[in-house]
Amino acid sequence: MNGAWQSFRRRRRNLAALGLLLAFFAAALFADFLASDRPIAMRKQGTLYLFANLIDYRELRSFEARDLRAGDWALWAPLRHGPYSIPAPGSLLTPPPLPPGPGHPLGTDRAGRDTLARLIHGTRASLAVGVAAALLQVCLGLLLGLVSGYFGGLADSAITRATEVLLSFPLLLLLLVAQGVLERTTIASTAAVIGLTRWADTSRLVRAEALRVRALPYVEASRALGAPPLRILLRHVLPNCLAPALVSVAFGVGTAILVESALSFLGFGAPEPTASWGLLMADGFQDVLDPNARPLVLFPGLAIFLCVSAFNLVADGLREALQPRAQGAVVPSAFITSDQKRALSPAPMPAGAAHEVATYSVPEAK
Amino acid sequence: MRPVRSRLLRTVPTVLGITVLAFALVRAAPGSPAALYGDGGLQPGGATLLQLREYRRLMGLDEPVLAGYLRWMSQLLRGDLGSSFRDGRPVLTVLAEALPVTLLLSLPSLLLGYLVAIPIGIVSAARPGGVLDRALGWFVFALFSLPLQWVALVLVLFAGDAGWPIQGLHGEGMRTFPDLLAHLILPVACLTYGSVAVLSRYLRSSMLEEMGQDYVRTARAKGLRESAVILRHVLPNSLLSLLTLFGLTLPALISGAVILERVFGLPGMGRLTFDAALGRDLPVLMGVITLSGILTTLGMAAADALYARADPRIRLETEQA
Repeated sequence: MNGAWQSFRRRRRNLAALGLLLAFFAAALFADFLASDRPIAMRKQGTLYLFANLIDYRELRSFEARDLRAGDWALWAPLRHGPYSIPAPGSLLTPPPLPPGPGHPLGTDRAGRDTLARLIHGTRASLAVGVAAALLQVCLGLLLGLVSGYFGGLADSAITRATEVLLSFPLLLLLLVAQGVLERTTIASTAAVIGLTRWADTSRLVRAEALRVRALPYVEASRALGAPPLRILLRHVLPNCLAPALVSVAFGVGTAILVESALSFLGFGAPEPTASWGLLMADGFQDVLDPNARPLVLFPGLAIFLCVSAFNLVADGLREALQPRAQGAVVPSAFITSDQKRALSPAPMPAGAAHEVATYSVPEAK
Repeated sequence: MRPVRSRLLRTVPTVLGITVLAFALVRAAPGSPAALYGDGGLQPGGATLLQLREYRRLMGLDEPVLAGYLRWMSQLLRGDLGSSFRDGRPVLTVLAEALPVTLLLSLPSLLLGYLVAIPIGIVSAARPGGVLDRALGWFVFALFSLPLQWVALVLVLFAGDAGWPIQGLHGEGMRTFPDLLAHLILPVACLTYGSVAVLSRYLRSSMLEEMGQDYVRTARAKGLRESAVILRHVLPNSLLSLLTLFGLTLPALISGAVILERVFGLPGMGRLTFDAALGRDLPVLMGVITLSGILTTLGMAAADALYARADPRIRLETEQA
């Protein structure tokens, strides 16, 4: 594992992507400290309220900034709008959506909710669905892939058939039908249907690895020593399968985020009024002819792009670090990987032949 | 013909699996067996009592699961998919109307995808690690991470400003081919970029793999120009395996059509599914899922069979097996 980290660290883009990911997770975790219509800490008439942005103090329910008297103070989040705060009726000179301006850096949607606040809080929905779906995908994929690769037989053909069915399906169509069949969709149901349909991807990779490891001499030796199948599976086969599983989780999160945003955009993912990047784009699509609503379309897409790129880059780095031999993983590598370079160099020769090759070497195209 | 036939035979279990999945999914709809009947009102999608009764009969909802499935299958084989809750028309008719629009998007996109991806793949593989290869690598990587609905929306914003048609298949009262083309360009472009990314990367790595082979070394050793080595020796072998990928891009094309038909207001399969899911039009949903599953499976089988026809090694293998 240590060697893998060393190899991962060598590429600067891996570290940059990891940093970007951490920033997204931090934004999700501290969304209420970045954008909130309630102060983080405040003192009102001698009472100190801490974390009013997280805790719903009964005394502050109808609190407004102008209620502060002399001697009171409040520490606000950098953006003083929450994802759900709607301007008081009659307080606006022009009907929303409002254009970007001093109060609203990215403008508002047609309900008057601040776009930047919704964008920041939308990180939560995307990451939650992405991570939950990918975890479900990898748990199912590991379990079914191991069973199918190691035990073979009837279970293997049944599972392989099932992966074939799932992989041959247009994913979005299947998810749309699944969500349409449900009476109402939630963030949890979105994550569940994504995970339940995408395990086939992981299971395919794990199965191949399990098949390979099963035939290795040390597994055979272990079997000859009388180790029970479950022990061989857990001690010898599973650890080998963790690397492809980990890589497929990282790619899986990126895909799940893309799929969630598409489903939410279509109205079959996160329900209104959740702040979700896909839903923001749907709001922007409603007002597509209104130039004030353009940030609603543009910025969530950028956020998704950055977040998914970061996950894909980390996944690509992980693949390179963990399984240098792997070919044809979930997404083809976008970069020159070491194994492709190796494909360019002449095939390894037996030690004795090296001298001959050196004398009659064919010029390599470079 | 034998590899083709054996490959087609192998689709039978997959198609069966698809029908099981479709049946299970819709049968498991929460509340459906009870609620579909119970209040006799307008439960899902404004269905009338009569429609519900017919639906329950067709789905075998009053029978045990297995008997219900067999009844539904036998109806399916006779081409009876029930009728839509929304307007009472046969599901098969509704599907037959929507399918050509989706094909109008996906077939040109498939062709275009190959046309664009092949040069990109060749150029990247010709100088691996070179400036052009690295630039194309980053470009293609970016394509992988772009949300399709965003690309479509951004195009709609800018094309709409420029006065380009962004809705539907035809302009007001226009039925000409150039007009249709103008309406199709944007959605087809959106649908294509994803497959360009996949296909060009695949071609690149497959060409690099070929370049390590002995016959390439021989070709170079006899003094052949590098361009001739790549275009005449390496490319034909790599193109062959690129062909099979057309099967794998089919599901993604249909998924993409769902989003694009919504953004560009096209009346295809994706739009149909969207409307049916919105109105919980269960017969149409079942029809969509069955038909699209079967179509993509057949497409994949066709791609494999084509590959087997073209590559004598595989042909021999399957004939011996």
